[in-house]
Amino acid sequence: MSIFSSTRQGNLTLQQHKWRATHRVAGILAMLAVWQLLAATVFSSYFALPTPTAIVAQAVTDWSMVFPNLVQTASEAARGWLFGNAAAFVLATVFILIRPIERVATQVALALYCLPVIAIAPILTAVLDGDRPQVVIAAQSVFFTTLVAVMVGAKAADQAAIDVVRTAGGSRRQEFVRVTLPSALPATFGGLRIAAPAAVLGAIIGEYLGADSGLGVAMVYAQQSLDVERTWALALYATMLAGAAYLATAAVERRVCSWSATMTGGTVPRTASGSIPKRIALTAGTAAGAVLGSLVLWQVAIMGLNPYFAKGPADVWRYLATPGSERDQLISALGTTTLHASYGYLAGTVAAFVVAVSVLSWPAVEAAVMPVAVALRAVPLVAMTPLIALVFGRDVATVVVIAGIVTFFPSLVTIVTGLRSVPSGAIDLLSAYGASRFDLMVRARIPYALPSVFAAARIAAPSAVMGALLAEWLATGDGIGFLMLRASTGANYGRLWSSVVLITVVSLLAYALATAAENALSRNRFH
Amino acid sequence: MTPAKHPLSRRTLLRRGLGLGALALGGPTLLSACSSGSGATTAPDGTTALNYQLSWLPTTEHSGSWIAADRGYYRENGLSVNFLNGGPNTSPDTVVMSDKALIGGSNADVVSKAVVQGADLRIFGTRFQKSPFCLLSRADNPINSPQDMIGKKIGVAALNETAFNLLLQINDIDPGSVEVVPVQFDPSPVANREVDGQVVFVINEPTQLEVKGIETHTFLFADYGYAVFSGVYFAKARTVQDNPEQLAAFLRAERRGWEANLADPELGTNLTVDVFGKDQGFDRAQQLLESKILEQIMVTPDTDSLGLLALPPALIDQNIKTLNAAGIDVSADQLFTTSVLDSL
Repeated sequence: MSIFSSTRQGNLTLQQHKWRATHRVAGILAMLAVWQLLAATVFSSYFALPTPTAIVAQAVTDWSMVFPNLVQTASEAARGWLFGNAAAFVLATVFILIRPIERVATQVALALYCLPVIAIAPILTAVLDGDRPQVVIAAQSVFFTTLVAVMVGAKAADQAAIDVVRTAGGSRRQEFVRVTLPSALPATFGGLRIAAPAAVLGAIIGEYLGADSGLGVAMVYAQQSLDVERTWALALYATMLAGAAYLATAAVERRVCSWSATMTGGTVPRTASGSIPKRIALTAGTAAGAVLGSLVLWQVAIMGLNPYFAKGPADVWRYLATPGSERDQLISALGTTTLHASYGYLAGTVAAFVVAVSVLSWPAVEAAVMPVAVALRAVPLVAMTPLIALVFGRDVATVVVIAGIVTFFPSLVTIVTGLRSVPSGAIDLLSAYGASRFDLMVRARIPYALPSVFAAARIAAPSAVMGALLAEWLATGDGIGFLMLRASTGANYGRLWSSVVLITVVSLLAYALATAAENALSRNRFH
Repeated sequence: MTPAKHPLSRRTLLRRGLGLGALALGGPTLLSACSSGSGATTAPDGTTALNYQLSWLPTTEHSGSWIAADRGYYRENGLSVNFLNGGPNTSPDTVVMSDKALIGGSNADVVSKAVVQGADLRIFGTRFQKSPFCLLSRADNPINSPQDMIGKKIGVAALNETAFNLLLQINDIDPGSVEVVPVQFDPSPVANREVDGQVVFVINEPTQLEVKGIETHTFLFADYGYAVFSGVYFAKARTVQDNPEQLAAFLRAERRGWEANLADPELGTNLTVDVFGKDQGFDRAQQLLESKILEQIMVTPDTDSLGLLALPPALIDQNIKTLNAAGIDVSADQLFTTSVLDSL
């Protein structure tokens, strides 16, 4: 059973399975041994990294205290996952059926996804009852990735198959049900797998920012009381919860998609075509529509809310149009954050690419790395920040690590999927000519996977911005992440909303850049 | 007994329905477009149901409230109080301004900033007469006074920045001479010697480190000219004007609860660990230590004559002077009201 893609290994022999299982266990044990050693020696005098044995012991002791919190977090994550994905599916279906609105609406959806949680959480908490703020944050963390995944999948539909349905007199509905939907499934599940731990993480961050109960709340107190073992035990439970969600999605995927992977001939996205002026006009039109759509949505969202904290487009415009030190500070912080995000993105992507290539080349690596990769995505970074700050300082290195971690997982999943999606014909051909594993990698897999690096970038680039904000908020105390925290604690809502707008714009630009690169690359390669 | 968590009313039902609708839209939209304004409703048993946004996690810091709920002091005063937990990034002023809670708990400097930004809020009582802000250092590397901080690394959480900058200003210390490190609310930076000192509440982190066997040293901001209330109760100015009896009923119950806790600190500790903070896995010994320390910052000659939770006029003046010195342009009438306390 592979953590990544369960669809391509149906024909392994029992012996191969055993061999893989042995490697996997060995990989995990090796990692734990190194951890135990480090924690017991280098870190033993610090309150930062307990030994795995101490964490497990604490986790067992704490079970009765953790259980209600675990249930609470799981419930928030499940509801967030459900609502976020449901919204994504509904929207995707609308997009597929009414193509023209896709361009504009995707941008608006993206803007929602890019809203920094740190800034909106206090407002959600002020407006929503009970655990709904956490559910909304969990939903927000999954909504966009699923939307993108479904759309990528839907576009991968085999044109030949569609033509067959059409010439046979099939209706639009039949085309949708028979071709588009089945081809969308593998990519959709890829998205859902990313969504599962993301929902858990979203719920926990929401709790960490202020809630009645849940793992995140327990973590705040464990940290404040310097109970490092408990902090990590809680993180362990969070990881298990996220891991369970991930594996459950993968299990469903295996049942549903066993047939569909062989159906698609590689997922090459359709790209924008037409002359350059026409494309520019289209892009400008989309941008204008998206801005207008976002502004309307924003204005509607704050309707009836107290203007003390609910600032509208006009307020932010006034704030940003007023020159002075207030604005200068904001702009310079934005520069810092953009730089931080770029570092993080590069680090995360390079790491993901290297790991993806290693995973496909040496299954044992997958065994050792995968649990860590899922854990990194699932462990709330707030639990690890004391450790990261202790090891890397409270400077740019920590930002790179935190933003890199945030970027790493979605990139890894997408790139591995890309590396695996090489048409079997190409592999067979090269193999027939006696190509080595290395040749296969260099000649077939990597070239085919390059577009996936940029597809990954569409998620990873905005994630890197969020990671940079998180690092600034938790460790370095500069950039817009800290400015927003300060604005929020100082009731400076004009500054808070302006920061949100600026940072959302930066995320959108990062996304646009990634899309443009992906399109340019696919055009050059396939046209 | 815990009061009913969410007394169902037409409004909450409406909000729930809208909440789902908003989720379907993928955004936090439209939510309290229908919240009508007062922050209090009538509970099924005829008492007034209100939400109280706590300033922090449900620790012994809120013992008086736990006792008031447990022993029925709120109920005797015609209230059912529902507690909303606070945390490191909750913003009680926003919660009160949105009418999600009628009453909030916070620090006077934070409320004053909200007031300056246009939030019409009034502080109508305070749990702590003396600010619990202190500088925590390790006993083997003690920082004894503000002057001692010069040239040292000090961890300051964003929420505590105002207080820290005020302390520097009052003591004529150049902010450039102290290296400020942004931290969260966990004391690991000072425990790990990442920083030399950290700004914390004397009731929280020092007791937590002591329980862990780390010897600590602290100095109180209050002993170096910092006279800003912490643990204040606040509400919208409109509530003070239109429903002062609700706030008075609340303070009456709180005061009785706190009197009971001061008489027996174990009372609040047990309610914290076993009931109100049950899911948090609190350390009973640490919570008891915290509960006992509270007396030092709650009881003064002023409270002996005016009663607990009082806002003594001289201290109000000092608060305003300190805040003004920090550039927060607020007057006593804009920030405080003693009318509720006077009516008790």
